[in-house]
This record gives sequence, C-alpha cells and structure tokens, in this order.
Amino acid sequence: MMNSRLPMLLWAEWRQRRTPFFVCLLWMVCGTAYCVAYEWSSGFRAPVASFYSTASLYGLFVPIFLAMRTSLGETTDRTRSFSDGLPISERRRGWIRLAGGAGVLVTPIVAGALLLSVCLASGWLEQAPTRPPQDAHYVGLLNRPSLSALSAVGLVWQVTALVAWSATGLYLVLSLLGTTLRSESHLGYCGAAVAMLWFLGDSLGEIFVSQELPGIAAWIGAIAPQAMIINYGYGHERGGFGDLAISSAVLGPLLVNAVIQFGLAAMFVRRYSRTLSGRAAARAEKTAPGVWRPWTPRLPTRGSALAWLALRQSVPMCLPGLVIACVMTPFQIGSNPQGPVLQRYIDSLSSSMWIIGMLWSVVVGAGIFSAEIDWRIGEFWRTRPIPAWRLFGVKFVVGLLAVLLVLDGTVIAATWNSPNWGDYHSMNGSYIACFLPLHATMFAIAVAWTCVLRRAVMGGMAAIATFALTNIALEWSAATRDFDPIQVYNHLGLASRTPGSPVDFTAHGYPLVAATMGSIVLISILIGWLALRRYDPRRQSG
Amino acid sequence: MSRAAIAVQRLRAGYGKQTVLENVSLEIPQGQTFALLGRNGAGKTTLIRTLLGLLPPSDGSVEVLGLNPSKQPLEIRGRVGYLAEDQAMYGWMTADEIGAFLAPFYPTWDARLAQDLFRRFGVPRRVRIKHLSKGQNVRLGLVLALAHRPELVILDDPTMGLDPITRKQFNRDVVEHLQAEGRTVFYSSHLLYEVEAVADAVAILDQGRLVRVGTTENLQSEVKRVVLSPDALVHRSQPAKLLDVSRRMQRIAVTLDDCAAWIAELRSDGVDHVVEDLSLDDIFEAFVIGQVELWPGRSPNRSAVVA
Repeated sequence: MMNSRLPMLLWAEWRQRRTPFFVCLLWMVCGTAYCVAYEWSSGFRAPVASFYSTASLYGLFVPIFLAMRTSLGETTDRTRSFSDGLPISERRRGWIRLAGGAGVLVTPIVAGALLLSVCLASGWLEQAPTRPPQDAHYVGLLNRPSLSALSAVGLVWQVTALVAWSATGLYLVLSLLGTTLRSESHLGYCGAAVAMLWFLGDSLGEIFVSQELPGIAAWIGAIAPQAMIINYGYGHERGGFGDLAISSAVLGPLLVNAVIQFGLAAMFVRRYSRTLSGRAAARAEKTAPGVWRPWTPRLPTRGSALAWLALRQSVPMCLPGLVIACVMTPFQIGSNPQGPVLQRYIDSLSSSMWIIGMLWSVVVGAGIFSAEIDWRIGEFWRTRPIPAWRLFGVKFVVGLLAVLLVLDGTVIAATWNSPNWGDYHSMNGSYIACFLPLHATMFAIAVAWTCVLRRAVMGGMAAIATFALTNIALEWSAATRDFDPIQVYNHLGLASRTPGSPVDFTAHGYPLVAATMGSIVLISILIGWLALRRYDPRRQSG
Repeated sequence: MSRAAIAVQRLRAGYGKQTVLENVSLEIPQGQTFALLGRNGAGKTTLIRTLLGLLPPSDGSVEVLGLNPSKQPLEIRGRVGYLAEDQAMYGWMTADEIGAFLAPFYPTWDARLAQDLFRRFGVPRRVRIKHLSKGQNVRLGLVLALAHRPELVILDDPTMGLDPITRKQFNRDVVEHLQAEGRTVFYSSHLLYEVEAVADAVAILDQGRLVRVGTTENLQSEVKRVVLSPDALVHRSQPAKLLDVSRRMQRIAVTLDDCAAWIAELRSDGVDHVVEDLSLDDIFEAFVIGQVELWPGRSPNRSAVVA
C-alpha cells in the first residue's frame, strides 16, 4: 500500500514542477550554449569561468522561486487542507516536496555541465588551468598552457559540485524561512534579501586568502560552499578575464556542508509537517494586536492618497537594499583610495550600491505593484472610483523616487563632501549620470513585466532575464560592446581620472545610451499602464 | 415618479466567447431592497461586474443611477457602495488608515459617519486589517461601502463564509442602516433564508437567465404547492407555469407559479386538495431544480415554464 502511494506522490510532484523544470533547463542549456559560443568566438580558454558565472546567477535566483513553491505553494493554491486529508504522512510529503524542488534546481546545472563537458572532451574548446589562491609568481591566464581534456572536464564537475551545493544550501535556507511566513510574495521579498547576503559569501574565500588565512579560507566552504571559488575579474589586482581559483580542500568542507544541509532539510520537514489548521488556530487564538499610530494621515486629494499608499509600500521595501549595500561595502574597501577607514567606507558605498541598486530596483519595481495585481486586492481597488492611470502613474513616480532617493540618494548625500569626490572608486559624476538612469530603467522594466505577468516574482525574474539577455546581445559584437551602460560608466570614469579633465558626457556613446534608457523607461511605463488598465482580477482568480 | 436605480434591458455579457448572461432584463426602483438569487456560477457576480462597469455588455443596455457603466464607470463607483464576497484590503493598513485613504475618492465621504459606523459595527480602528477576524473584515467592508452615503449599495454574497450568528447580525445592520434611510440595496446571495427577511423584491437567476422577478410578497402569494391525489390529475391539462411535481406518500405535490386560476379550477371541480405556502428557499428550489416528469401521462415540458 505504502509502495503504491510513493509513485503517485512523485507523479504529482513532477506534474507540479514540470513547467518550472523546463524553464530552468532552458535557462541553463541556453546559458551554457552562450558560454560555449562566446568561448568559441573569443578563444579566451575560460569556458568554465563563463559557465560558473551563468550557473552562479542561476543558483542565486532560482532557489528563491523554487523555495516559494516548496514552502508556500500549497497555501497559495489552497490545496493544503486537501493534502492534509490524504492518507500520507506529512513528513513524507515534506521530504518529497523538498526533494522535488532540489531536483528541479540541480538537474539543469548538471545538464549544462554535461553540455560543456562534451565540448571540452571532444577538444572543441580548451580550458586554461585555474589560478592557485596563493600564487607568488603570477602567470596570466593567457600565458598558461591548456589543461588536458580530462582535467578540463574534471574542473567543470568540480565547479558544478560547488555551485550546486551552494544553490541547494540557499534553497534549503529559504524553504525553511518559508515555513515561518504566510505568503509566497513575502518569501520572494525576504528571499531577495537573503540571496544578496548569500552573494556576499562569494567574497569570503578571497578575503581570507588576502588576509593570508588559508585554513579558514578552505573551511569557510563548510558554511558557504560558494566561497571555495574565487572568480578573479578585471577589478582585481592582477585579475584577468575568467581567471578562477578553487580552494585546495573541497571534499571535506562539502561533506561538512552536506551534514548542515541535511539538518536544514530535517528542520524544514519538521516545520512543514505541522498542519496548517494547527498553525491557523494558534494564530486565531492570539488577540489582534493594536498598532501605535500617533496620527491618522490627512489626505486631502486623490493624488496625496495614492502617494501616501506608494510611499508606505516602497520606502520599507527600499530600506533593506540600503542595509545590504552597507553590509556589502566593507568587501569593497580594498580598492579605494587612501584615507581614514570611515572615509574609505563611505566612499566605497557607491561600489556596492551600483550593483545592489540594479537588483534592488527590480525588487521594488516588482513589489510595488504586487498588491494591486493580487486578485483579491485587485478586486478592491478596481471596484472603487480609483482611475487605473492615476494609480499607476502615482505609484510609478513615487516608487521610482523612493528607489533613487533611498538607495542612490543616500549614498550621494553621504559622499557629497568627500575629499575623494570624483575619483573613479568613489562617488563621481559618471555614477550619477550612468547608474541612476540604469536603476530607473531596471525599476521600470520590473514594473512593466510585473503588470504584464501579474506575478511579482515572475516579473522580477523576467526583468533580470531581460537585462541579462540585453547585456549578452550587447557583448556579442565589438560594435555594440561599448554601449553597455556599465562599460560607458567605466569609460567615463576612467577618462575622468586624467587630472584636470572634466567628464565629457557627449563622449563614449553616453548620449545614445542615456536616450535608449530613457526610451526603455517610457515604453515600460506604457506597457505597464496598459496591462494594469486591462487587468481583470476575477479572470485571474479563475 | 422617481427614476429606476438600476435598469437592465436584454443584457448579454460574458468573458471572451463564453456567454454568462443572456437576455437579462430587470428594473429596480429607488429605495428598494432587491435580492438576486442564484446558484454558484449562475451569473450573479457577472451581472454585478456589468453594473459597476468592470465588464462591458455584449448586447443590451445597462443604466445605473441614470449613468452608463461602460462610459461612466468611475462616476458610478463613486456613487455606489460595493461590498464583495471574500473581499481583501491592504492588510498593513488599519481601519482608520483605509478610511483616510479612500475618503478623497468619494466627494460625499462623511468621516464622522465612518467613525460612527466603526463604533456601531464594532470594528477596531487601530488594528491592522490582516489581523481582523472574518466578521470584522466584512463589517469593515460594509463601513467603507456606506461611509460616502451611497445612493445604491451593491452587496455580492457578503456573508459567505460567516457563521450563522454573524450573518444574522450583518443582515440586521443592513436592515437598520440602509432600509431605514431609504437606500436602494442590490443584494446577491445564495443563502435564501437570510434574504427572505430583508428583501422587498427578488429575482432568480439560473444559468445566466432570469427565470422570475417579483416582490417577495407577490412571489410567495403566486407560487404555491398543491397536494392532491394522482387520480385528480389524470384528465387534467398541465398548467402553463408548472415548476415541480413530486410524490408524497400516496399523493402528489404540485408546485406552480401563477397558481390562483388553477386552484380555483380545482375548487370548482370539487377536487380534494391542500394548498401549502412556500418559503423563498422552496420557491427557489422549484424554479432551479424542479422536475415535471412525474405529471401523469405527460412528457417533460420545462421550456414552457422558464419562458
């Protein structure tokens, strides 16, 4: 009897996970195909590093989505009470649910690794050796001899194991976190914050290596497997494109991490198997807490009411982005100019905010309309005399201002009187000219996708995918490579290094890039507004 | 003579190619409490969405408070108080805050009335909406639907999911606060016993078509159940508005609309019979799932009844 139930459970899990699985598979196969094609055209002999970048990005975002479905999918779909009535233990259901998500997460990474392995084993691509973490006699990647096909394939699987381990670790942490939350959107939002902190783990190995603490650098992987790979880039001292370093001891830390992950999985199953009705009853028994409000807002006009709504939603969403940037900043201090530690810290804020701003503007853009596209709240505002264009317009403008002021504005204000103002590694005119429009563009794309797809997390993922694909398209050709906004920033910033030369905003393709970003914002506004205007919550609810 | 609060003529509406409402016509005078009855999926919510301008009609005309919902949806929503089934609001707001947020959108919003209704309906003002109980949530929705003193209140199955006591309490509030003030109330429900106590008029919607419209009083006086011997029906023609025929021990129970003439005929023929009054629940059941196949020597003829 028990044996006949297991295949049915697995079948049901497969049916639920089938679509996300194929999307994930497409992501990794296409990503790996791009790495192969790029390597084939450029001949850098660093396909494993490209694959690592693709898989790392995948392993940072996909766990959020999968953990949301694992922890709270049954709550969203209202199937939990039905499942609770089945003659199957909750623990068994929890394990299968967790394993289903992990399978969807890891299999595409493995598929990508297989594809790359075939290319390397057949000799179609070559791979240079990794860089030893403590290499006193540094030899550039281009000057190192190629690895044998077998060693190259071994390197692929070493990297794959580390990326998959890191991704499942993040997935388990988020799944466990999901058992304490009430909705998928809450977990999506918290998941974005945790993923950003997870991203910082990448730098831990490098920090301990630079501090000459190789023992800790090796074993930090027991907690953060992603720290066992250092991906040296152009920004690093003696860094080169696609130069990887892998910790000397991988197996031991991974085994320790496996024990930790098993503990997380067991905790998840224990929490998941507590029935929903039990949790709901416990909540209902609590007396509804009153909240302290010194005053009720006075909102004399429709615009002020909508602006208040947008501020209350967007500012709390922006603040964790600012906190994450502040936490990330110490990792950036190394490359900054001289000065007292506090001054160097403040100046380094821009080094972390440009990337956090890109990601967090997507989080806020997707999140600010998440309530309005929820069918139940959608029904509420659609049946009031609230014009869709006014709701969209005010929320867009206020949300955008919140992103630019709370994230970028705070950093600009903090560095305004810095003696290092204008330096490439500090706040400068190029940052303001390039990254504020780029953050606005990311915000606008996320808003548009969210309104079109009517799922905040999907909208955010689609915005990041849009950016990634655009970047790939720009990088593909030498003619368009210089029009990548980050490249434009680099060119403008580097040009301003010359003493006495002001930043020339008419050069390096800036006018074209700025105009393009402005156009994308306008087009996104139009698409988002049209989607929200046509939104019918009852049809979405089914 | 005052203008109708709602006037619908030969309405057809639906989603895409799926037609949900077909040839619906009704007129609701101002000040009336009108109950729209129907099973789940009968088209009640679709009709309400058409009235609010959320769904354009495929054919026919709709007028709400003298306005066209397709052309003036925001004006209508500003003058109508609407409470939906299972309605959610921004969970992080308090009752006070959502009142302050909505006030600018309604030119007639009465903040003092809102505070008064919060107190009378027992809605905590400084508790986050997500922490309110289901009953408190419905009552908050009712306050928000009434605080701008709307001319027309539309309630779409508002008590679904509430316990019986809370449902009765809700209906009492509706009766007290709306009927006393002479407001027009459009009340959609499938819980008939709660409608029976408050409705002036009733419409029965079945599979997208209105099968009966009338005042509650007329409906209960015109639809009756007659219990008689099966032999008395053998040579008798089937009434035009026969709704249901069922066996009751050795006798037959016949439910029919517009029954006065047929009962008079039985009396004049000296047929032994008993006439039973019906609750709204029984009437609704007869219209929606009534079967006439048991009529002696007759083939089923439902279309004549519906028409």
